[in-house]
Amino acid sequence: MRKFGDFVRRYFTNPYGVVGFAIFVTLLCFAIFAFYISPYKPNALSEDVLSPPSYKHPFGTDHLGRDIFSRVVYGTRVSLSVGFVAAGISALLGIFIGAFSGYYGGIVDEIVSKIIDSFLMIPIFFLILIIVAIFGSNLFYIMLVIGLTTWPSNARIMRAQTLSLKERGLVKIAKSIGESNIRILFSHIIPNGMYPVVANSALQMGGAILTEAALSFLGLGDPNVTSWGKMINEARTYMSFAWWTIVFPGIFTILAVVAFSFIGDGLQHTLYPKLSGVESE
Amino acid sequence: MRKLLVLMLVTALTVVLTISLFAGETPKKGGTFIIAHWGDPISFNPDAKVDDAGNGIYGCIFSKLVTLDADYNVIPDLAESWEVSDDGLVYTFHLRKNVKWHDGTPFTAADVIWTLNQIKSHKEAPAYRNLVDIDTVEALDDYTVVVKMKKPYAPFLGFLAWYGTWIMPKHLYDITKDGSPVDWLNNPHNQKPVGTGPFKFVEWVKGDHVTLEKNPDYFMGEPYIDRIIFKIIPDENTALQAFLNGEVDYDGNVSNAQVATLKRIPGVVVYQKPMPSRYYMGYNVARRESPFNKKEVRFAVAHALNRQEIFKKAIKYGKVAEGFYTPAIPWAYNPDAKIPEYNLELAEKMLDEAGYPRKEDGYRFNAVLVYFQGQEWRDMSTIIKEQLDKVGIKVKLEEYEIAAYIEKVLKAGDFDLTVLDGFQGPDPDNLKLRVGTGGDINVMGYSNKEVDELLEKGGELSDVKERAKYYFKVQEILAQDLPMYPIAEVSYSYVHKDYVKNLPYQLTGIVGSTNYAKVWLDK
Amino acid sequence: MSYFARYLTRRIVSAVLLIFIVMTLNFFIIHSAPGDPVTIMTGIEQPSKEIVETLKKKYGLDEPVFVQYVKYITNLFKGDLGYSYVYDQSSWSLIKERVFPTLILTLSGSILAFIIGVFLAIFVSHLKTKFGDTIVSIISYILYATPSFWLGLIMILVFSSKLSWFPTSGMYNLRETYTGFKKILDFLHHLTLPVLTLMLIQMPVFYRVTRASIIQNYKEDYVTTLTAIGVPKRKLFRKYIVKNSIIPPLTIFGITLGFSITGAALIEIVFAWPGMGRLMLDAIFRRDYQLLLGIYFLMAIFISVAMILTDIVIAFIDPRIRLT
Repeated sequence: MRKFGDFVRRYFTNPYGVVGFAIFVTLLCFAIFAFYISPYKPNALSEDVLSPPSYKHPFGTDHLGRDIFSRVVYGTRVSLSVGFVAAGISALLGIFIGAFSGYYGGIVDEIVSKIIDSFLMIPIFFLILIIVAIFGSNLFYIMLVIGLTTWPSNARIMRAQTLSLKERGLVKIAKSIGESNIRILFSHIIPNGMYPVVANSALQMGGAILTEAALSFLGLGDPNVTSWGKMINEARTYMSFAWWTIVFPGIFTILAVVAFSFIGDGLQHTLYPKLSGVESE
Repeated sequence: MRKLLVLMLVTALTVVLTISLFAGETPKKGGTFIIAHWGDPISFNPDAKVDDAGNGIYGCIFSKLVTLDADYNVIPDLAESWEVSDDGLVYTFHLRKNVKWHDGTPFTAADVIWTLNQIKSHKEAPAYRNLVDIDTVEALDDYTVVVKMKKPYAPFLGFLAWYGTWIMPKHLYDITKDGSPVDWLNNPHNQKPVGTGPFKFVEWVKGDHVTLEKNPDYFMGEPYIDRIIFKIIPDENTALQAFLNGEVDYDGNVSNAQVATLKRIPGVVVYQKPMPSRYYMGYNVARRESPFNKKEVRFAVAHALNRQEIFKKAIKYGKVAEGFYTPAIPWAYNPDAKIPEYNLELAEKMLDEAGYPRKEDGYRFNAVLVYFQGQEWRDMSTIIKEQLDKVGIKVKLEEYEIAAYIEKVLKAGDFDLTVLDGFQGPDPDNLKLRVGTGGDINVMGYSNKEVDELLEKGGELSDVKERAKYYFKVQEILAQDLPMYPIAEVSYSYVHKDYVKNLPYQLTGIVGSTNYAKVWLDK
Repeated sequence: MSYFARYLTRRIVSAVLLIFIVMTLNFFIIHSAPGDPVTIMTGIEQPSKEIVETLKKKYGLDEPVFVQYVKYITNLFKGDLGYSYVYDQSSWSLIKERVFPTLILTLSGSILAFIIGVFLAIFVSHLKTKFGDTIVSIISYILYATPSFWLGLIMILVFSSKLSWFPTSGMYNLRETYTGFKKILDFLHHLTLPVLTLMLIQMPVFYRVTRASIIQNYKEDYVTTLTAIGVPKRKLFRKYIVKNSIIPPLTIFGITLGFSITGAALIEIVFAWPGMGRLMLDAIFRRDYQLLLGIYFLMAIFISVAMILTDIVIAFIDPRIRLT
């Protein structure tokens, strides 16, 4: 518990971490309190088609007369969910596969390493594309697929951690007193080694948001939800004379991904303070 | 003496004035005409495969026996005249003389015979089923072709002029290599076509552009422009930018959403023309279990839909649909077969009576609306979803790319509602595909024996007035059964700079709809 | 040298095995997607059962998937990349026409991103104040977070539509027929915006990794030792820090190179650049199985080669790294 308190305190000394967290909290509020914050329902059609930002519509309206500010606010829900679920699945898979593989070693480890390497060779994005075409562009499937295709980087990190932790005194003692392997994995290795994966996951959340935006750009996003990527895609036709339709969703996408990057870096610096600090000679 | 001078002056003035009157519109020679084209051709074999992107370019390279102009009238092309026997079984085509292929070889009846027989013997050729009723094709002499039908089929000429029937050079395709015939799919001229059209092939840089140059020996006269370049821009927004920046003269990749912007720009011509194609929503009548199997539900939903709103927001150009066929083919359009009107109260009542009351959450039932990619479809579907939400129907949207859409809707029938459009010309016989039992595009699974019989009879007769009676009845029945909900008539927008003259849509009756033979650039 | 030869052989064998697994995986995934090339070819306007049946038979698509798989793999090992059903040409002939435009785009973009990213990191490390680092860092975070297609669209909006400095799309100005030097200039003119977009998107990673690497290197023991001995700061920096710091970004550069076949697909679409990205996307949408697999295969080879080359280059720079 004390360790956690230290961890949090150290985290907030890092300026990037703080800013990232602040932006994230703001977006989270947007997502949770979307109903109260948005002046209109996100799908409400109106006759005010493509009107520029005004008092009535702070971000303007789109080609169907929908209020862009409300849509951006509701879009936060989609982006944050995609980020969390996809990165969460990726982290879980990565941690377990990496830990087990690194711990038990042997031929299982060889095979898993080969699988991790081969994932590097598949153009992940196009793989996601094909899979979305099979199962449909349902938001849940998209999140699942992104998670299922990005775990290797987490597994690699976890595996490296496991390999080094395996040789540590704590683990050797546990083994000598007869603790089962499973217990060792779950009580010592995973809890101690998973932090870099957490830091990596923050970055992966940003990546998941960008992937969803790219899928929507190609028309493969979920048509039932309001996502920023979908908004950018729909705005393309009108961008020459209605810049607000494309600029605001783009800005928010960048904001969210930047927030996650900052958080990821903040976590990184908290875990490895040796790396922090800028040095000039 | 004075009177003579005055007379001479007046004559001179008149002559000068008359000349200047006509001189304003004398075509200038020269220049390169650049078109933004929406897709890369698959190959330059115009008859072997379905190739919509290629088809837009074939019109400059190849010719047909007869072709369709921009108004979907059948006009002469390689056949300068023709006769049909009274029993509708024999068509005699008189071919133009002195036509040459781009490589100099003379064009004769042998080319026509080879082409038609080739299509007839290849089931995978897109025009195969249109020519399936042909019995024999023979040459009376080098410039006369006689086609005998197995049974009278009035739409034959229309289909012959429509697609997949470009006349191909027999001397280049009827060849053998090492003793065995070369398959037309593997013929090298698929990459370097030779035709009889106004422009000769120069080069094809895949994915980037196709370059053609003028054919000085073209049978309708040497083209005015030196070269045509089809620039391949699949993305409509990129095409728009290229057009606005002056990189292309003609934008062939336009969507309705862009028309408003384009109309405001000086120097740009936007000509809109109704097409015999319509947007409609298909109900799942019989493909699988669905609330829409019931006629009452279909009518109720029709009353809940406001097609004026859908048209205004999602489609914008064209016309709201009022009937069950396309008014662009007026002789077959029945103005009395009407679509149900917008009436929310009636819709709610009918849904209650049909056995779908509102449940606790306010919704009566769920429905899946499937559509394929494209901003218009997305917008249309979004609006339909909102409109049906008001009467308590929870609509779930599913968007697919075209391949998956075909699987889901066409093949598996796995949907409740779908929106699509479709070309309904050039002949109402086409309705067989959409509403005839087992029709290839009958996504609704609709089947009505009376409709089938009426369509069959309509296709056999040749007198337009007689045929119309049958098609009118079909539309009456459709209005009673309501297997689909027509939304709007499609309007096609021709977009180009004002210095481009004599485009095919301006020369109806003279050139085929994709034939740029007479185009000239006023700059 | 025999050590090196052994290493190389091991890597190559490993790569071949990997490629085989990848191709098998790809084959079955692609074939399980709904729709098939023939049905799509016939389209939705006038679909015809006869066309579908005849063509399926012709292309062997009516055979069971496993049989198709065996046929495909055997052909692959003979060097035959397959046959595109949609275009009726060999996959290779289609690919080779598009490879050049893509490679020019991605290689220029990646190389520029690498050079600028690394130099910025080195430059910033020289500065006395933290300010430079902060500014460049924030810019690089923002660029990293920017969707590539969105950036491309904004580029077109600003530089093509509003300012008319650059053309919107395509590779050449089709109105003029330039030859020789003028043609090259025209090509470069068209190449500018897409390369700029790609470079901006990729630069952040190189900057951050190099910067982090430099910082980390400064904490290493050998730096303390060398400083204590009296090695001047400049020399220390140039001879040791830079050489060591360059390795992580080089590794990433190697991986990026490996993906250069399809790495710019979204940018190619936005700029109508006639490269592999569009070809691949169309192949997916048209279910052109063999073409798609041919592209994947090429990419797998590219990646393997790139990784092996990168390892060799790095070993060359830093002999401390053993080639295990």
